[in-house]
Amino acid sequence: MATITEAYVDSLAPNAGAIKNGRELVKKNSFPLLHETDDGTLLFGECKGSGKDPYRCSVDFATEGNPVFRCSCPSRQFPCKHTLGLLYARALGKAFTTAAIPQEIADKRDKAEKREEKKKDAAAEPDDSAKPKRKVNKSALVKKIAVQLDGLGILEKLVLQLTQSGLGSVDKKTLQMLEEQDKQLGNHYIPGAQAGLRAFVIIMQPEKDRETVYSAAMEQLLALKALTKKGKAYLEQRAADPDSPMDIDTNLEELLGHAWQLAELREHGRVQKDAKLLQLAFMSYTDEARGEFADTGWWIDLNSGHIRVTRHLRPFRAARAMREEDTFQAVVKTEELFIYPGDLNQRVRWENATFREPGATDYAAIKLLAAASFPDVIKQVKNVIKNPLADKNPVMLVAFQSIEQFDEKVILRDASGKQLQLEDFEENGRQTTTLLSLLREEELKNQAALVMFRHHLDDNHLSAQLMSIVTGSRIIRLLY
Amino acid sequence: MSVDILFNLQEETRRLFIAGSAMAAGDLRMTKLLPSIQKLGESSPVFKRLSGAVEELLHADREESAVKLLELSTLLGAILYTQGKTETAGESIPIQGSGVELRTESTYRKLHPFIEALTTKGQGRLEQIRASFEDGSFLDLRALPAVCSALDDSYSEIPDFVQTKLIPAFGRDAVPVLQKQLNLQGGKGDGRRLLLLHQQLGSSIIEFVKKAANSGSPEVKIAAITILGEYPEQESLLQELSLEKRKEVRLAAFFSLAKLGTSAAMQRLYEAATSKDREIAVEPVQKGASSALFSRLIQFGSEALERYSVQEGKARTESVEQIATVIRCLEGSGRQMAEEACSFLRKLLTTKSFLVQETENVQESAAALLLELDLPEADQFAVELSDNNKGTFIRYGFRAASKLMSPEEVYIRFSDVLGNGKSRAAKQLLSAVLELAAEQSRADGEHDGYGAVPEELWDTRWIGQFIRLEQTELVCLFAQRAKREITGYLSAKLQAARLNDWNALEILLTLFRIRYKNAPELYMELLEKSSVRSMYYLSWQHTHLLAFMPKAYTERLRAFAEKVTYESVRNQILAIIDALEEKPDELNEESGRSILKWIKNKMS
Repeated sequence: MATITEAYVDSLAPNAGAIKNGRELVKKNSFPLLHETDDGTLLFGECKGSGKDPYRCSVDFATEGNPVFRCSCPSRQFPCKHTLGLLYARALGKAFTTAAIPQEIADKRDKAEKREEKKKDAAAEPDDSAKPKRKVNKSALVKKIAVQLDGLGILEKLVLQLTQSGLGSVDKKTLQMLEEQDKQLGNHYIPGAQAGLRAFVIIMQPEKDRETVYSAAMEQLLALKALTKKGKAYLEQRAADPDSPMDIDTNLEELLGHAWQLAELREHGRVQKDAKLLQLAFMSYTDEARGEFADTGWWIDLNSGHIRVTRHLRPFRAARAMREEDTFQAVVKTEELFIYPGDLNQRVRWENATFREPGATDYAAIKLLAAASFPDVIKQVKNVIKNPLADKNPVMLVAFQSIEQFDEKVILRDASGKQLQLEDFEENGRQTTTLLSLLREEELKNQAALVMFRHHLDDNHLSAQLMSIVTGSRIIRLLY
Repeated sequence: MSVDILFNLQEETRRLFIAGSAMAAGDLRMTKLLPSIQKLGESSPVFKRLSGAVEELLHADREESAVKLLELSTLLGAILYTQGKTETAGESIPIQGSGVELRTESTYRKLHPFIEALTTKGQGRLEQIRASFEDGSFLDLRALPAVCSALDDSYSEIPDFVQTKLIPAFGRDAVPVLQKQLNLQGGKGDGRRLLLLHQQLGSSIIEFVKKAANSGSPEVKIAAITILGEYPEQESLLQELSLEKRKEVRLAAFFSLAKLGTSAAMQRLYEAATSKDREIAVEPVQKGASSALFSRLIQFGSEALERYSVQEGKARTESVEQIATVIRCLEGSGRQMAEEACSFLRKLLTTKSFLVQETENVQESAAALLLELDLPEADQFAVELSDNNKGTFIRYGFRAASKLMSPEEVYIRFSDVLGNGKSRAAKQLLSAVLELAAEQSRADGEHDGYGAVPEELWDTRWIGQFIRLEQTELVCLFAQRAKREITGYLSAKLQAARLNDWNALEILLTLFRIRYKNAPELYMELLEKSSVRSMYYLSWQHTHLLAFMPKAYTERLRAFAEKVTYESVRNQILAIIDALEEKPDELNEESGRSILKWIKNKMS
């Protein structure tokens, strides 16, 4: 069993609250019993709770790198604060006495072993027929598409209606009507489009200053219009020919609300073998329209240089019981990287991975992967964002020569003297340009920068927020 | 420029989105734009499509208008998105780095709540900030600006914590940010910034500090003046500043002068203490503690006393104020000036014309100072004073006598004053006894909070007097063992007592302390006759008393506990009873304290 550090336990905790609560249990001496087995693979103990009987908690390190948490408490949070507290007690150097493994855990270990064996046996059988290609019930699919089309029809009608009567005429009553319609859309298997309409309602909330929201509202209407148009064309074609493949070249399916399953992605060949990724930035934001928290990580594919995105979505209703993602410092190596359809920053996921500490060679490699010419990058970005359905905030890694300042404005300059204007987007919640003057001289010259783009329609300029700087020796995370 | 035309068109489509596409047909402003767009259309097919879309919109009927407007706008948007400017004209200069070596490795889940706590309002922020400080995650480049900005926070405990803990931990790295944020015309936060900058940079910023002291806002000025107090060569500037209009600034300057301690600085303080500034000069003078200055002040006091004797009305009041200031200045430094102060005070307190009602406050502080001198002759004088006056000085005389004489002598000298306890002198004496006795009993480590006075320091006859005068508190303090007259008196006092009556609890604790055999029964009775509803929380007295109970009472205690209304109190009591039951027998013989310790151990 590896030594347990506080940082390691922190990383196991589902959220900050659990970290705090777990630590407090140790501080308050809530563990009257702390035991470990002879071979050190099992920590177990008793923790005082609010009830009469203490909770019996244990952490099982029988399989390397994959501890099993068990606790008799009824908490839905996993791992619960008691098992975390047990680990903190270990990390903080509390005394553990040696004891025999409790019978119930020994039983559970046996069962788990048997399960593993069964799995292995199943995997060993060279039987392809055991894994048939997933069958699609065609008539059901056609029926579903019909309902989806119906929904898109409703949405289109609403968009046209709103355009015709004008944003100026949207009042409380209209918004109420829209919200009802939005609920109706819930029956049409297009949650993405439904969220789009809800986003419009949120933008137009009456307490906001109208003048400032019209531009955003107009954008949203255009996006909804584009979604209904493309969605209808796509779905009509699929309804006519149910055998035609799903759209895997654009993010259309996801925008309509399809949640890609890994099996589907594998089926469509959206798997990259032996990928290596390193996170360059991380942020968690709240998506009101979808009703969820989105823990978002921006990663660089160390082989191809693509900037990938991980998005861990936590619906408000389930957020408490779900693990919060956090900044990740290690290089992730995975045999199978699943890539969602999308534009510049494709979303990725992986099932199994190994980790290692990043080093100077990684940083050097990243710097080589950064795009050298701003005009090329800008062209690429413009080509993507002109699509009304595109992600309007693409993130790119660029190589810069210097960081310079006009009176108020800060720019990046590339090797051929071209500029990229930097700006602190309010939505990201933090100013990163103010940190620049604190860095070392050499960190401001000839490095790579991870930037998020945004086009401002009001004054027609394209600017970027600096998220991180990659130097030869470290990643300076300026955002988070 | 084609972009300008597109921009204008964008404006017009936005206007139509707000007004509604139903108004688009034949729209005047749009029509006006059409020719220039058509002209653009000749140059490229995209613009041709655009002009076509505009035309279609202008000719569309009501029903179609929405589709047309959306189409036009989509097309226009796509074009505009490719037109975004990225270049800025003009001269630019490279950003200078300042070489901060901080890491950026705190994770989002640690950093985000910390920065939120520093930059927003609401409760629980300090707790978060402390937690981040304890686990070290605060030491991050990204937190630095927010940390320094928090010096302006209106919840003063946060800037205090930031100033004393966080920023010192950042050390030099905080300097560039502090410098950038510092505004000499700012508020208290900027004063803190200046102090912190000086902490890091020391004398190298002295010129800047001088500038702040001369031209800063009052808050910044005060901080600058505080710093100047460390630099003797800045004395002339401090002298100047000590004449400022604002009182707070003068006060700061006085403090800094006191710190310098030069003769010129002392001269200034002397002037301040003997002028209208005397109120604010007192503390700096006390702090400076310069014997030369004290001497001069005593001299000044003596002169004031002489003036007092021949003055009348307002001038006389002024002299009293002057004398009072001198006495206050000497407070805390009495021993240092014992001889001189003693003769001054003796003169003061023997000047008949001074011993009038109007100067009573000054007389009292003079008498208090007399005791502080810790000089046998001063104490002797204090005792004499208590004889010839009607009680004003008896408390000081009593304290002085306790130092000078044997317990028996003190008793003989003062007990007669008590009489029936109603006279002013008697009351003064009782409160002096109580003061001294309470002080002494606090030193009783074994009985934390319910101790007795050291037996050898007092004459044994006192307690009889207190019983006679019904001074229960004093009886409790003086009770040493379970004598019948004491237990009888205290038990009688308990008859009318109620559960949460602190006096009753004190009496019971005393009875347990002197090992009165009936004490458990008395406490049990008190519990049983009281209303169980009135126990809202378990005070420390009850915890102690419960712990003292013998095992035999556990059944009755349990019966009482079951009736307690509040659950948390009930659980606490039951826990103590459980511990009592487990109590090993050998502990019974020992003092209550060890039992309590044992129980506390048991319950933690």
